[in-house]
Amino acid sequence: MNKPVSNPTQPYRSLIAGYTEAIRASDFKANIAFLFVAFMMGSVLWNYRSLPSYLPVQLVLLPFLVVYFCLFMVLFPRYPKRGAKNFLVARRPTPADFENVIETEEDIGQLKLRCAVHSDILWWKSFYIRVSFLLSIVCVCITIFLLLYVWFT
Amino acid sequence: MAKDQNAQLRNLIAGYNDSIRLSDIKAMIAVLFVAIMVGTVLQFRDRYPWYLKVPVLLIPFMVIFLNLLISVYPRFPRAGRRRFPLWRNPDPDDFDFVADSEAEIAELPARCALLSRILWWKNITLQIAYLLSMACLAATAILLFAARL
Repeated sequence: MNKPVSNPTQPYRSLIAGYTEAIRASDFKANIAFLFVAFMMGSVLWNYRSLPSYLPVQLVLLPFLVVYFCLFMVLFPRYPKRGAKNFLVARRPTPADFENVIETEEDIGQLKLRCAVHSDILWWKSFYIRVSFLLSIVCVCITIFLLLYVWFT
Repeated sequence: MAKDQNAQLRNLIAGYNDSIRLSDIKAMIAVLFVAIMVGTVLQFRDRYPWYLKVPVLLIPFMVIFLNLLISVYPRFPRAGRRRFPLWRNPDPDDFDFVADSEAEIAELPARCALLSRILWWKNITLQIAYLLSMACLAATAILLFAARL
């Protein structure tokens, strides 16, 4: 049997806070990754004449562009329609749109909906950030192997 | 007594979360520092002594990058997904489990173990990156003085 909790909305609020924190951390990582990739791309492009013949500049730049695309997708602002009742983003909102804020704050159904919206947002963010990080890690590994190959031949 | 233990576990979880966040920030700043340094080092590669070829210069940077990227790689282990689910297009009714406070309390030690493991990996990769960076700085200092003699 489940124990009745003093405030039944509290566990949902904690979960929402966890999601918000994870989303914020994900955005922060993506922002820094943008800077990292931009700096690295500059270094690679400045020295593209020194690249071996089997590494055309297009091939070298392709991973950078894919990583950029994924990072843009991570940072793309998302305000899904199904969560709009809780967090209205409108061009011409009226004060009447915010009159039932307290009701929605206490409604477990609305809190569950917010959990679902946040989980969905975090799923997309973590998917794209993982793709970009994995691609970066693979490219760094390939670079290490190529450098070792050049060093020992 | 049990209440105290739960409070302790929650404090421990908060501590792990703080340390993980701090570790991520350190790794992110280090990534930026190293990325800026790569450009600077490569810019003057024509002036280096013959034994400092491009692969010798770049391999430490790449190993540091690899460790830092592994350190900040987002981790949501499957073991913790029951209380923190990541679903694509979930239904609000999927979150009924949140109301089960007993299950939440029972999973506190498991969450501590999970966060501890995440922090261990972040810590070990960050330490390798930092140690390698410091070793490279020391080697650079020695080479700079050796070149003057």
